Amino acid sequence: MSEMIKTENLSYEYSVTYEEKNKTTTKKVLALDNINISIEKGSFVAILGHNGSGKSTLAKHINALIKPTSGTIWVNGYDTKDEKFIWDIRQSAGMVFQNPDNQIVATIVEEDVAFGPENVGIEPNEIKKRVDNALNAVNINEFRKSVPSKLSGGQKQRVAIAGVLAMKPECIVFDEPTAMLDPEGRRDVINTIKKLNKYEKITTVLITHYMSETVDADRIIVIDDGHIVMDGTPKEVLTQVDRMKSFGLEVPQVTEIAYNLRKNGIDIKTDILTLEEMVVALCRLK
Amino acid sequence: MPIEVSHLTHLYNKGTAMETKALDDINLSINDGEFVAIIGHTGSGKSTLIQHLNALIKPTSGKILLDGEDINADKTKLKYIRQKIGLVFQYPEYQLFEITVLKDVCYGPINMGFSNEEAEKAAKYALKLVGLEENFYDKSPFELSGGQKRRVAIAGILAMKPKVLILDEPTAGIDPKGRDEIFSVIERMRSEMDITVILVSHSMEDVARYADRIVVINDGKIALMGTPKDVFSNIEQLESMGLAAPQTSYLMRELRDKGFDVPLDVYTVEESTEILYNLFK
Amino acid sequence: MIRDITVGQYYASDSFMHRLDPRVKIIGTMAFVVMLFIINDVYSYAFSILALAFGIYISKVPVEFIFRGIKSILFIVFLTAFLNIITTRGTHIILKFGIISVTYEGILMAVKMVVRLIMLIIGSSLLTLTTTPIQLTDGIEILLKPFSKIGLPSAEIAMMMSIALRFVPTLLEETDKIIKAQQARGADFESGGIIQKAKSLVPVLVPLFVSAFRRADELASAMEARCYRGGNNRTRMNKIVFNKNDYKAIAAIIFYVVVICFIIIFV
Repeated sequence: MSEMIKTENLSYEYSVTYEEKNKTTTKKVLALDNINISIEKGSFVAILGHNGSGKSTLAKHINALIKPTSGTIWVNGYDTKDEKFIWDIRQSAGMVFQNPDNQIVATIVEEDVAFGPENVGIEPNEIKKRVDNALNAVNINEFRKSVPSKLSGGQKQRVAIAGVLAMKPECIVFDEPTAMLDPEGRRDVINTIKKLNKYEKITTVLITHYMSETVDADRIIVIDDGHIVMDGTPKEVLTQVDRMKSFGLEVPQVTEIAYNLRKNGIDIKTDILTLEEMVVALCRLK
Repeated sequence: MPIEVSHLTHLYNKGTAMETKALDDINLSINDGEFVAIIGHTGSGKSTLIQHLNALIKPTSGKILLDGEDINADKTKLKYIRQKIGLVFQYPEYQLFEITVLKDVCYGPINMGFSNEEAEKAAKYALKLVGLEENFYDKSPFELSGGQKRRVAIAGILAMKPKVLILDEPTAGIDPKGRDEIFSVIERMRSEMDITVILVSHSMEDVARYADRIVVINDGKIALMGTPKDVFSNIEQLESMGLAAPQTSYLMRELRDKGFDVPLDVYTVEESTEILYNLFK
Repeated sequence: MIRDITVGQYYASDSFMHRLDPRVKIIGTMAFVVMLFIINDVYSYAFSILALAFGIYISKVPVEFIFRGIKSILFIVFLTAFLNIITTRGTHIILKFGIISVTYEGILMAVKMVVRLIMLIIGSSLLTLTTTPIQLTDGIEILLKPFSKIGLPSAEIAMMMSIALRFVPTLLEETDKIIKAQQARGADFESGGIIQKAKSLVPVLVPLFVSAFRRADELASAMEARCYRGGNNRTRMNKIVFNKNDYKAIAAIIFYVVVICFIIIFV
């Protein structure tokens, strides 16, 4: 399998200016510090981290919305610093943002989905085909003529996903797509994301602080303070209960219970992520 | 200051073709010092209900009594009611506007007629309660982190010294650490200010852990009401309303099906660990 | 209250009016507005009202929906009427308070202005109610295209307008929320003099501006991420094509203009 995204010593620094006691101070903040990752085509990678850990900054690099201060990031083989390839990069790696209201451009669902293809100069008939396919893929076809402001949060977010899909990307970066949704909307969006990864073979980078959304990922990367602190399969990462908590993150409740039992001397395996696994493990103890 | 909601009904767009019943004959009483959680899916009417409690929306019919008095009877008492019943909206950080944190927190108390000194004293107390020390007073609210902004906004309500505090999804969009901080603020003010708390939440784990009583709203009606134990024993009914029970109670159900002798009303990791430990040690 | 503003909103439906070419609707609205300035006598007023009523009828937008939009600007309407009544001089004096006199001419003028104003608002909201902002801006873009030769960025102007319209409901909803949040903190927007009232708006306007800027920033990122790079080389999913109905509408507009001109000149 080839690489979708690769970074080499990627760092990003920005300065903030603030006023305190009538003095203007400028401070440099290192949001990402020497990040080296590579993400394979077709994989489902979750990036976990608390607010302000740098995970969203990393996401914006993948779409060339920001460029590294030092180091390099290649998306689908293109160096994001090369202005020539910027539109190729943005077409191959789409992005869905946190707030569904602030990424819908048009006032009718289908016109919004068409916005991306229109920007890159696709022919009208081809756009129509793509819009149809994208709306069906996220299961929102019945709302194609609706006004976005009348939709629920989860539906709006699926419109945003369709808008990206219509660009036919190889990879989609989801930057906390469920943070502002209710449980129902969250479920809808996460199921849509999983489906796209599985059936449309879209490389998925899911940035979140909801650990429960990462259980089915191929790989979890934990970012803290601009560094990669953990990287592995969900079983490898989520079962390290104390470390996860030290980064301000949660683990599944059953994982934590198993971990606590083990700590108290009960002979239960600790790589448990789901309810079913927990029940099986406990039955074995009897 | 007990709150009594009686036969509260609210219609949106009354008398037009788009008329919808947001609340339908709600009867509810909330006692002093209680921690009540309100759950229900989006659009169930829970936001409409809490805005009634603050007299921001007027009932189409029915009454809300605070200390036995109808809160909508006397318009001149509106401020008094909003001081006694504080309402923290969803994403309250979007209401911050002042130049400094301290001034912003003072806005509510000054509106309520506190003198400048009183307001400042109340503001400092509230900021301390939400865990923001003196070095935050002169900062601009706009340069804080998301979690800090939210705590400033909560302090802005607390500084009015309410007897009842309503929080509409105070942890929405906040990471687990920030969520724990907000709940420890709620616990602190309950013990220090002797306050009644009404919490609207989507997290079954949170309401099971903290609330004395849970009110389930569905289609504008109270569908279920009682202690967490009472409410979460109706898993099927909750699921039919698009809700669920805490994850641990599903674990206990599965185990009981497998023949283990475990209680079903277990809602926290700590409790579950203890029960399973005693079972398997 | 604030949600009642219908100017700039789109009413989703599939009427004759909705399906018209946006250029036709823009030209029609412009023709109607220009005629409103020159109509003067009962006949031309009556014919304009008739034309507008016909427009509402074929738009299939519920009448109550349209009139709700007027409720929110009643204040301006009354102010106009009042100013007209007290400032118009005339010979038929009906009432007199000191130096202010209410005349028959003044009242007539006020009635005319009010009717004109209401027609102006309904006429222009009919355009936005039946045209999606994207169609509207596409129409404007094409109509402005000849001016791009002299350096007018027609595509960008069109995009800006479309986004502004797209965010009208979002920002109205947001304003409503902020007002309620500040009311919960004891804000009083009703009592006090004009200065006091203006001051009480600061806690609403500051958060609203902050939020509008944040939204603008996020929207810009989202648009860039979807390869937006200005107007050139963009294609459209729905190409605007003139069809039979559009010719009918153009004929109707010409008919209206001719009749009004006829009335003004000969009656």
